Amino acid sequence: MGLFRKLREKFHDDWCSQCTAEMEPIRRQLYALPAMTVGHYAAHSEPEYYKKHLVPVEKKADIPTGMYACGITAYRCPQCGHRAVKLFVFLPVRGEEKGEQTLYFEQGEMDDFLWSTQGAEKVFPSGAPRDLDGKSVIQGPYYH
Amino acid sequence: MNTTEKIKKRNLLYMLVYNVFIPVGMLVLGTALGVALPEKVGLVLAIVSFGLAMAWWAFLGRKIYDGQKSKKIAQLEAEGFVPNHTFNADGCTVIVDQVHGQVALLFRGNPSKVYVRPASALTNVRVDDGRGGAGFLEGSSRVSFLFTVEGINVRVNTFTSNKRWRMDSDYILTGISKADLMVETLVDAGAQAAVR
Repeated sequence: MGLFRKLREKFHDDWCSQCTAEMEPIRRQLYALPAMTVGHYAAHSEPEYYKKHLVPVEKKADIPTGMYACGITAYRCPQCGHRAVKLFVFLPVRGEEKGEQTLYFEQGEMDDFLWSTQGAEKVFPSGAPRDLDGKSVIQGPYYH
Repeated sequence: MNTTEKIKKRNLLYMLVYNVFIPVGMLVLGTALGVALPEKVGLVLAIVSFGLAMAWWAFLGRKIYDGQKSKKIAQLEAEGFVPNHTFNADGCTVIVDQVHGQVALLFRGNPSKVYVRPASALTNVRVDDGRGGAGFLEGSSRVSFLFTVEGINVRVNTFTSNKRWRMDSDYILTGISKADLMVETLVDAGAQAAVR
């Protein structure tokens, strides 16, 4: 199942998990994830975490340097009507994307967030991101 | 807080003592005791001293340096410095106080001193992504941010490797992001210092 999911993420992220038909994207939205900055990434899979921390933005350029971002795409299958939400967490770096995690929510877990105005009023401070306690320690370099 | 003394990235005496005299001294002492003491005790002591010297070179020295560094940062905080951003690199630690627009520098080659300067004293702050090679060989093995303070060039590595990585690899992108963030932070702190 894990392998199938990974292959689907890689090659057919828009396939319906019920009937394997190609799903139609019905909504796309870019979000900033101010709670996560470079060097401090921790994987989360709970929808509640993202509902609490995502801040909608218009374009990648609005996301401060070093802050993680999240692209959400809502899909609907034209054949069986199945709906799914794909959440892709990445670090925007000079126009490139360093992918971290892709999550699929197929039970409507993100619907209340995605289709409501929740989070629309959230704003994050401009300039370099700061951790919640006002202190940030970045470790580097890595040796490989 | 050392705000006036000339910045020295390396203290040669410290480096000699720390990296050469202490571990070599352990080896010599162990060997001398091994020869002087009865057979079994001497052998054990020689092995222990050899192990200690290797451990010193491998990680004990680093551990002690990290301990000293933590104490220095705590001392800075007690004196009113606010460490908003700390970047720990292999040869240098850069701590940015965005409240007061100051930067503290702690060098591994001279850990007994912490140099605190207004962030506006840092010039030529930039990122070096280490891009090299052409075509499919294009890549980097080092990403760093650099600045000049009081005529001294400081390079802080955010990523190093013994091989070349593609420019879109996760390691390089992470290194660039860290370097970009630190440069932005230093420039912001410099603007803050100029206002004060």
